[in-house]
Amino acid sequence: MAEVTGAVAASLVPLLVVMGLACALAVLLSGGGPRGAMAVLLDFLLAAGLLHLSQAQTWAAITVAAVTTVIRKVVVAGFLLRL
Amino acid sequence: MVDLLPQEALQEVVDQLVRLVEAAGATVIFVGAVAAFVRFLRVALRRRGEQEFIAVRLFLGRFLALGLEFQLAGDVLRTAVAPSFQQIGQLAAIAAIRTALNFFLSREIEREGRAVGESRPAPPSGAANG
Repeated sequence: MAEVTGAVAASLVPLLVVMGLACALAVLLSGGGPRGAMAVLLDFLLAAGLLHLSQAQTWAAITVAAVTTVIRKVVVAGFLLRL
Repeated sequence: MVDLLPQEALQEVVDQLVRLVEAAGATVIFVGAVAAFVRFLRVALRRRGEQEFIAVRLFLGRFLALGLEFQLAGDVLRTAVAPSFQQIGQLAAIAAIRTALNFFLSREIEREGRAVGESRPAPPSGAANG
């Protein structure tokens, strides 16, 4: 049961990344600007990261998931700064 | 002493509940992402303004926050049966990450929601009087 749930979640992570890329491209092409496109992409990547974190069972997996999430938050915070 | 609820039985029940709650959280996140994907494409095709994109981001953010709440509930349930110190440590790390994410996400939703509310035109002054 746990293996099945983990496998389903693992297969959904790349799907979310692809959906995020498609949405970011759509936002960029329809005049949402690079800032909006990046924010949308990072929202989807955050969703993928949350699913990834639910399968993390080792310290290495937890650290990777946490560092990735922090990097994304820092990138989006830096990108959304109004200069 | 009579063992009314053996540790193994309790662990089995809690494990099943944790799986159920975490699956619910993952489902909420995935369904929210799919719904937001469809809405993003629809808004992009109609070439609406930036405010519409922010509204869809808010929609996705609310789903992510709800999914995180489910996952945090699973973490709390797991603390009922965490036999080793290492498992407790891992649980604390995951719960800390999720709590921090939930905090920042909620703050972002609040900020963006306020920005969307401010950008909407105010209703005519006579409308409130009926």
